[in-house]
Amino acid sequence: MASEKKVVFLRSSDGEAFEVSEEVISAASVTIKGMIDEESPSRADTAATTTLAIPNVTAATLSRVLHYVNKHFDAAAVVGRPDDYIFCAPGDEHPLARFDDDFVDVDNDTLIDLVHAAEYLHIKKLFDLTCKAVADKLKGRTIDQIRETFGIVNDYTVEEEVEVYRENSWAF
Amino acid sequence: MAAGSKERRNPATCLTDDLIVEILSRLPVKSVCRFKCVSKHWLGLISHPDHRKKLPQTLAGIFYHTTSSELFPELVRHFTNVTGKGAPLISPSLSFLPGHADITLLDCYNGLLLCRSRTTAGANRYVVCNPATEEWVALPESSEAGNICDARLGFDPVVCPNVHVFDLWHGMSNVFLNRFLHVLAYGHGNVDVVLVVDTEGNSWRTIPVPQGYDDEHDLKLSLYVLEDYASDEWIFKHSVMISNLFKMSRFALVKLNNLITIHPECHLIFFVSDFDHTIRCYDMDSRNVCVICSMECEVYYNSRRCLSYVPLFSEHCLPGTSNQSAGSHLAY
Repeated sequence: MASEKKVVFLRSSDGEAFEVSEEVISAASVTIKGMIDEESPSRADTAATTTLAIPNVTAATLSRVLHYVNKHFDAAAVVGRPDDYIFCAPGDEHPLARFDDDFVDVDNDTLIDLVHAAEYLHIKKLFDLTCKAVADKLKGRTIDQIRETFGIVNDYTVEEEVEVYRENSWAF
Repeated sequence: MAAGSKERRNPATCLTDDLIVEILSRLPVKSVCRFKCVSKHWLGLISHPDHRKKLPQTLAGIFYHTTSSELFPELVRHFTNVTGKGAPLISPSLSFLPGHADITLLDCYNGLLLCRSRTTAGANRYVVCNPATEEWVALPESSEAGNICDARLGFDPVVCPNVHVFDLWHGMSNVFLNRFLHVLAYGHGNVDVVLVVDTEGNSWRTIPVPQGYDDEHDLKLSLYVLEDYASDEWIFKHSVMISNLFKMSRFALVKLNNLITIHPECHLIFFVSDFDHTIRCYDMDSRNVCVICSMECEVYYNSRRCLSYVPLFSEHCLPGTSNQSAGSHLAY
């Protein structure tokens, strides 16, 4: 049957279309599942494939997100490709832990884009992974580095700043 | 210019407050407190009641009791912030509890308070409450609640939602940690040991206590850490002459219950100074002592007179309780 493996196309904010299995993306993204469910009555018997606009996510980010989604949510791929397991160290608690580590080993801007995309697309696993990765990057940073990273202007008066530093001096 | 169209883009500046909080919630508490210094806006985010539930918390303050010097002295509850400054984070009256005027604080652990409350019929019972969310639960009336020396609260919301209350017949130093009650006791041959009891009160082990050597002329406070919990090997961390803590020349008397707590995140020891009725803090790194607050009058003498408090802002953490009398196991 032709409808055995349905696919959908996702169009990024900069107009690039990506093909993904409907089943896989529905399992991964609450947002896209909602969009597909809304569309389904009108396309029940048509052969045309659906294209969904993802206006908040660029092609570069969307292709990364789909790489993650195919790895984590495509049951066939996970079972069928034993190489991930072979490269998995004996101590790794999750077979995709190594993949996840590599996935978030990117520059700050790419990582923050992924956080935004994971939030918009409502992919909880990816959201947790990317937020944790940002947190790990911030952990050792100085106050000035944090301000620079987030483009924050220090709005404390000199007196207020002395006081807040004093109160939290134990944390430095 | 071809490259000019691509402006220097910084997606981090577009993060919403909710996303910043999501990221902060995945940081250790020490980093979160440090980042209060970033800006007023971040301080507001971190302190906001809606966000505190998600963010890790640390030692916020200390409950303590004082008595008036009248013929029939009244016991008064107080709360001081750990900084010793500002309005108390928690109102010590606990006015959300029925019969709050007639309760005694027994223990505080992971944000919950264990109180002894007297019912109108005169019976005693335990009440466990969360002063940050003003939720509480009363345990069934217990004949033990009125006459035991001490009671200890066991609660770890991450591992198990149940609250355990231990009745202790001997007023010995004890602490609930890693899901086990730890009691300092005399082992065979009068050697101090730490007795470990689980929440069922049946399986236990003993851990030998490191033997310190006191100077002939002064007492020493020594800190050892059991880094590998499975082993009995204590690692020496720090020691300080008691006279340096109290600024007394010699022979300062110190009781075990002068110690309140060690800060969970940093090298600070909180203790009571009986000489000037103050709560003080000793910094193990700088070896300096500073006064947190003055209690201004006689401190109520009891092994649980000062209780360190780490807030628990998440709601609905009191689903079930089980009263576990461990007295028989510990009375020896």
